[in-house]
Amino acid sequence: MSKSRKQLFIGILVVMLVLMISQVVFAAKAWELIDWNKPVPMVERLSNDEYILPEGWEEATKGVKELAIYNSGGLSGDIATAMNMKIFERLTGIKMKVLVVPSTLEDTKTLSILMSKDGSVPLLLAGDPNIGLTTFAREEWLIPLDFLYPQEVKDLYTPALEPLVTRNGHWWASPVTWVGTGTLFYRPSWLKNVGVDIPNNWEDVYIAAQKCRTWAKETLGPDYYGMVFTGTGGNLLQTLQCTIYSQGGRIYKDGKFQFLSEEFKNSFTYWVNMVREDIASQEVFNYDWNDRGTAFGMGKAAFASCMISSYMTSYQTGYPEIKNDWSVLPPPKWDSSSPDEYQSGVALANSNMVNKFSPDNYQAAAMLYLDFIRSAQATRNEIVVEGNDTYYLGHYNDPEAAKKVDWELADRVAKELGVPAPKRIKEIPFPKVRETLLKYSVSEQFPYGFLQVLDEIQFQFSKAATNQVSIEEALQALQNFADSL
Amino acid sequence: MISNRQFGMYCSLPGLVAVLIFLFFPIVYNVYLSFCEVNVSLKTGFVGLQNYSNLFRSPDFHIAWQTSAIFSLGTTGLTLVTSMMIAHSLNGIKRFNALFRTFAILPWAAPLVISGLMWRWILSKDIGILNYFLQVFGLTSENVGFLINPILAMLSGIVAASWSYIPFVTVLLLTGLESIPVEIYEAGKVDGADALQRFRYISFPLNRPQIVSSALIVWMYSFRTPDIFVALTNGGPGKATYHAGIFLWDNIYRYLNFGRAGAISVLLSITILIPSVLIIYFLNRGSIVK
Repeated sequence: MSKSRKQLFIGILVVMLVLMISQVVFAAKAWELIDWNKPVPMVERLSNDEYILPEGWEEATKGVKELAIYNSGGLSGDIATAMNMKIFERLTGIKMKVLVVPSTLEDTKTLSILMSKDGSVPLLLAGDPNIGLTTFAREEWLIPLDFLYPQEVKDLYTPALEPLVTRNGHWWASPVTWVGTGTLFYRPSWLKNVGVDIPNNWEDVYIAAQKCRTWAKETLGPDYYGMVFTGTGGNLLQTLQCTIYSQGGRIYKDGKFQFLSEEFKNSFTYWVNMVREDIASQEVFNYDWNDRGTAFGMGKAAFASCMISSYMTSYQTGYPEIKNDWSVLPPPKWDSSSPDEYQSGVALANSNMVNKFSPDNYQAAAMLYLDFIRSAQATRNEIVVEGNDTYYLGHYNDPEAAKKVDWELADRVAKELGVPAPKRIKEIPFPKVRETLLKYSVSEQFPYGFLQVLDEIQFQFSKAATNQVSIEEALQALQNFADSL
Repeated sequence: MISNRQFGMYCSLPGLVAVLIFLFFPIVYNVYLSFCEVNVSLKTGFVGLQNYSNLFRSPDFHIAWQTSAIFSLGTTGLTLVTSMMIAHSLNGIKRFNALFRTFAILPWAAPLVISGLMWRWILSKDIGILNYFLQVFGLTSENVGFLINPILAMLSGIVAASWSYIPFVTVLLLTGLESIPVEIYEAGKVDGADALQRFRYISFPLNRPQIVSSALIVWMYSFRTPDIFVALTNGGPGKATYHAGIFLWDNIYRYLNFGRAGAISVLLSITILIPSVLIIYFLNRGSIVK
């Protein structure tokens, strides 16, 4: 081969290499082919009664036949999610493959797949983004979803959404199921029997619960209490959060845990005294997330605090012990002088994230699913059919919401899952309570390692409530522990 | 031509490689991690014995090991005594013995977590069935907090775990009892030994290998496996049932402190291995079995 031919050959080779590399590095990602604002602006697509697919989705998701997703628990308890998957499959032809993750392993499963750089599951799960998302939120693991949330789209949703799923200035997740947390259930007949009005602040709730306990103990038996709450894990945290936020306080502020703040101290003392003064049973130290709801449903207490709002549906159909003798309040303020925006519950939502290690056409399909799942159509199914809450605020003022649901699909899905057909409600129960809950819900971004602090909160709480240490000692120990991490 | 010896070696190679990859490497890697600080991106830094010294200073470590010790000893004792009684009863049953043995093994089919959840519903103070019956039969005037009193919570865990282990141990002991020749018992009867004496001088010594093996299995398993407490109390009330297995689980999966978790698992292995190796050594030497 002559020298000039050799040079030409090398030149062609270099050009080809550069072209190949630039193709790989600078080529548009598949999901960039989707125009989220066409055929109509994103807000219109999402808020239309029936979701409108964005333009370019077919090209972007070419080759995707099946989309794997981590789901918290089995679908038999998630009929709305199952319905939404069916609708998504009908719209796109992409089959949803549900991988069941037990609630105790949600973050663990996500972490293990990310650490092993495995792209086989494009839609990962953050069970409680308040706690887990800080660990996952990094560009080498997840695809930021900022482009799905321009201001006009954010305005469709509760203000608590943004702090819940953003970290470092980016959106990393999008909620699937919003678990409205913070409502206060009560027994009207008990309040009538002890001659107190329906309370609207925590101070009055305490007095009412105390009176109810005295009455119930004498009349119904020693195992009937004034208040039931959960004294363990994340549910204890939520219980404390409700009373802290009701005073305008926060647990984690300016990069530091605020265990010695006035608001935390008031909140901690409030619930410790509930147990110390026998208004609540010591059994709360052994309750998990649904035990308090069960105990209240069995007629064991006058109040159940920091409850998830889906009980508004389940108490209508089950629990004969309290039939027609229960009602619900939005999260109370701390005292009568507190402003309305302190009626704060806790923002809590199973959220999905897009796996950076998945092929980009699968990432596109994952984004498309998250786009659909936040739409008016999908969120309506969550609140109407399943009784969950929704971060899409428009439903609370839509008297027609229940009529817009495809009940035949709901029945069909229930049959497939082998669960009872959902009750065909005519209107969303307690829409004003729910709206208040969602409007003022608070989310906090807890730092990496927060679970150690959470366990210490539970430990110190149980010690204080059983008089092993004073409240001041417990709080100081808690602060010292958090500062030492 | 290859020799038989060579052929045998080649055949064993895949198994050896599998053992090296799936057993030896994880153990060595775990020991290595126990000397490192490992963050969530698996970036490591060598810290020497710091994880171990931190552990020994940690109150949680002492609570967890103490809980595991009490729980494992209690479970082993209760399981052995009850299993021995059942095994002797089953050994004496001649009619429908297959049926009785099938019933006796049934609880073994339930996973520990499931049986823990079942016991949780039975023992719950406010909504549990046991308290309901205690009140119905007038045995208590107030509900008993089985899972909220630290001592009762530990006892409940021991009972619940034993309920799961008893069938397995019963079968082991029964196998041993059946291997004892009937003639020895008959000779004992002729010599005037009563039932207790026959147990003490015949059944117990001749069944001792099975008894020791069963005790070792139950002790090892209950020292390291926290399933019952995960379902029953989740380590509470306070940290009254904070088992070593929960401590390990927390550090791996919840606190993501992999270096510390490595150190915990190394210590847990040592705690279990030393007594086990000693017992097996003496068992093999025949100093336990006369």
